[in-house]
Parts: sequence; C-alpha cells; structure tokens
Amino acid sequence: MANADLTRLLNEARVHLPGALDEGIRYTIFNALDEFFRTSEVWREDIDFDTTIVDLIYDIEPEEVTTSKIVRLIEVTNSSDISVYATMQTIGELELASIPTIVETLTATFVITVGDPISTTGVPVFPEWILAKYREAILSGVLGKMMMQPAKVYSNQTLAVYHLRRFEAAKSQGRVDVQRKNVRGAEAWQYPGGW
Amino acid sequence: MATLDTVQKFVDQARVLLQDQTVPYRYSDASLLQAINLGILEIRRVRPDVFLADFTAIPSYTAVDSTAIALDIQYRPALLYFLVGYTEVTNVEEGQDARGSALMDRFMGQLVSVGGRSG
Repeated sequence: MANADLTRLLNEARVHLPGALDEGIRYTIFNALDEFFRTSEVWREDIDFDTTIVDLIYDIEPEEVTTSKIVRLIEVTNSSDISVYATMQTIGELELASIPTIVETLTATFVITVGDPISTTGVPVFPEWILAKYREAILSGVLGKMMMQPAKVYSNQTLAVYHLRRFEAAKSQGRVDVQRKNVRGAEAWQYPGGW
Repeated sequence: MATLDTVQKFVDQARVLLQDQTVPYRYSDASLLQAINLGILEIRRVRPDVFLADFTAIPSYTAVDSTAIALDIQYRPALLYFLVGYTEVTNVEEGQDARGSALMDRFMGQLVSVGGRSG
C-alpha cells in the first residue's frame, strides 16, 4: 500500500478526532475496512486450483495478500468459463458437487477481506487501488465508528451518524461498482445471464 | 528535551504547581509517586483505549527518576492535573480542597471532552 495514501488517511483521522490515539485509529481502520469489504465485495480474487479424480474438497487460501481472509465464494468456473457447482460450508474448504472425472484447473472467485497479522505500519494489507478509490468512504467509516464510542474526547453522536450514513452509502456504491465493473452507466446484467 | 516524559519531570512540574520546590519538601516523593500510579489507574478505568497496545502492562512506577512515562503525550497534562489535585485534596489545610477538586475535575474533563470539563 502506498505510504502517502495511508499517511493522508491517518492524518485526516487525527485532525477529525482530537484526543484519539494512533493505536485506536489503527484498530478502527481495520474494523472499517473489514466491514467495507464484507458488505461491498469490492475486493475479489480469482484463485486457480487443480482438481483430482479422488477429491471432493479442496483447501483454498488467498494468494494476492497472504494475510487476507476469504469471506464468501462467488463462483467456480472451468477453463471454458462454464460454471461448476461448488459450495463452501467451511471458509477455505471448497466442496464440489461431485468428484471430478477429469483432472483440470478450475478458477474460484472469492470475496476477500483484511486479516491479521497487520503490516509494520499497523494497518492491514490490502490492494492499493482500493484506498485510492475509496479513501473518503474508509475515512467516513473510521470517523463514524470512533465518534460513536462513549465517553471519549472525540465522541460526537451527531457527527457519528453523519459519517456512518456516508459509510453506508459508500458500501452500497462499492457493491454497484463491482456489479457494473466500474463502468459508468453500465447495466448490472449481461447476456447470457443466469436464469 | 520533551516535556513530562519522565517520572522526575512529572514530580518536578507538580512541585511547581504545589509551590513545594524548597527542601525539605512538604510532599514526599513517595506520596507523589503514589498519586502518579493512582492517576494511571484512573486513566485505565475511564479511557481503556489509552492502553490499547497492551492491556496487560499497565505502567506503575517505583522511583522518582528518569524512567519514561508510558503515556501518550496528549494525556500527560491530564495526569499532571491529577497528581497535583490528588495531592492537594489529601492535604488537611483548609482552602486547598477546592483547588484540588478543581484540578481533579479538570483531569477527568481532559479525558472525556475537548474543552476539558467533566460535567
């Protein structure tokens, strides 16, 4: 993650939260990011894995950022981009509907969120473009969550509600961005769709 | 040289506010040290986030020396107000209770509000 972007985020939080400690801000950044990623699903990862003719369950872990966590499975496709039915009752254990009859490489797409351990900056690792695009949203989440805390110098219920509403809106916008693949005015559906 | 970054500096600054800079002191080092440790416990109670880095290691001091005060710089003045206020309210002389209570209120106010008033 770019240090300049992160420094800007931390500095803005410090300015808006008099009396807040950096350690507390970093904890809240983690919480805001986690909620943002789980709800908006903007962070996705395609993970390839090879099937065998004996296994039904495959252990999958994020590869782009090893400390990140899988939230949910979106889909599994084969090399012809045809959907393969699969579930994930236990996070990280992908279960196919039936044992494959051939050895092939499948691609599973997951929703990803931040996880421990965090980086040396005290902030979890996540793709740089997300902070560049959603910095205001993440900041609103941090400010809202911090200001909602009771009996702190920076407690402010009115502003907390304001920032948390902005955060909610940003999560929804993020979800739409994903559905439309960041194309302005694009339709959320495409042909052929899932019937 | 940082302000209020050691136990010694806290005690020195407290003696300025207590007008107790001439030996023999009215207030012993031990009593001031006790007040610092009580203040730390009060901060832990009211603002647990101040010790978010390690809740199992709440600082406690045993000597007036150059030991670093493990408290964020934003809350060191508040601890100083507690130190002086607590010391004054424990003094039996009439007239110091009010000033001591005011400083204790200011301590609490600085922990929970921007303006520094607790009520």
